[in-house]
Amino acid sequence: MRRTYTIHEGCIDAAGLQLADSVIRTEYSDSSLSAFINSDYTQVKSHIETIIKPRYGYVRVPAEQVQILDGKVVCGTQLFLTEKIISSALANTEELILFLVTIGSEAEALAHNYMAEADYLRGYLTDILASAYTEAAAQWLEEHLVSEEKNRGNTCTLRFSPGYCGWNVAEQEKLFSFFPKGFCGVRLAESALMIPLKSISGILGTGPAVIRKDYACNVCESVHCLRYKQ
Amino acid sequence: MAALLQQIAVCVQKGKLSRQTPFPADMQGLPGVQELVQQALDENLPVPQIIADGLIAGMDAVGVLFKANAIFIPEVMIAAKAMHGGLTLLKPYLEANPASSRGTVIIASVQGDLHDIGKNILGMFIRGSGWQVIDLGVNVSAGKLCTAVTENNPKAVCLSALLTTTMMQMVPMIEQVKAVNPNVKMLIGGAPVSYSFAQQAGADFYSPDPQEAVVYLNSL
Repeated sequence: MRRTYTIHEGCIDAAGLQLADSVIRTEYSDSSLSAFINSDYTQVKSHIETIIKPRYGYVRVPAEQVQILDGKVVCGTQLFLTEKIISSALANTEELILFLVTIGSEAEALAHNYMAEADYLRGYLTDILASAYTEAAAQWLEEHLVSEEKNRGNTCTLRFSPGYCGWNVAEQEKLFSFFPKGFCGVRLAESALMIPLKSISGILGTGPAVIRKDYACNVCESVHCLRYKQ
Repeated sequence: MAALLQQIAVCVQKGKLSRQTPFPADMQGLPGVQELVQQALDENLPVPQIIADGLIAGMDAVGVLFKANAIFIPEVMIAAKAMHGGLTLLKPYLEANPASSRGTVIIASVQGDLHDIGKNILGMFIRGSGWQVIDLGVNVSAGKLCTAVTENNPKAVCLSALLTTTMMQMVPMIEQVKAVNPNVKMLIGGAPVSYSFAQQAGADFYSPDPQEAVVYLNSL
């Protein structure tokens, strides 16, 4: 089936970047990093901004190919076993948008280099900041889609990714079957791992009757999720 | 002698690598781990004691503070760098006297998993506790692990995974290592791993954080 793919490059959501700060600062109860850590943090952050290469791509699956079931989502020829948290959040969805976001592999390589040179602090900061930038990139795409859909008279659900909200990460393979090979420069390893690592894939639903609900973190047990009990 | 070793321990704990290290503020201009370890060597202090009462004591204190949420990963990283600086000076001795460590521990991220930050942090804690650490890296197959176990006769193997898919690789890896050497203790950890999974997988120990892994290893 012929599908239309949309690709954007280079955008990061400014508000989403606050997450980068919160990732590290929430650990410090007095909200103050030591001067040295703060200095390294600032330098690493500036450096990362010059090397990351955000890329975004998405494809729409039209209403006639989408069916939301109890704990499952029919999407074209695939059946996503999303579990109930996601399928109920997707209620009233007409069209599904399947997306892929990456910041490239440069920050990952930088973190490895720091670690190899025994500059463990910078290696660690680079890794967590790269994760935060990836999340900020996904946030940008989500807001872009929300705005685009609003102009079409639609409401978007939140975005959901394999590996979260009860959706088994092995389902990445089904999701990637909708993307051309090497879409946005991301490939899927056999273990369902995206390469580059700093990538996010997922789905969101859209339609005029969609109600945008918050994440159901209160009923989720994924303690390592970024949004857990937030 | 005791005072010098205690100074080394404090410098490790504070992440004071050398005289040039600009922190902590109240130690500016004072010697750091590198100068103090060199001084200890110059004074012919026994190297095992420099390691045990200086470097390891410092990292032990870091582990306790980390476990108590009094410090966080960034401070652990700074301390690990200071520890690494001290160990680098002692490397020639350690290579000539491998028996001076507690033993060997192999660490690895399982096949299919390319995440390594958690594994690296664990490695720092274990190394900081006086073990020789062989880091096989990421995406490590059962075959590669078994070869490393045969060649290095470790006391323990620590496996890390970040995904539910890659976590399942731990099961055959544990089986195969145990077939090669049933005495090797198998520790597993990582975001999706749980105590019950560790039991099902036949692991000897599940560690939710690096400090618990170190306490277990030190009890062997």
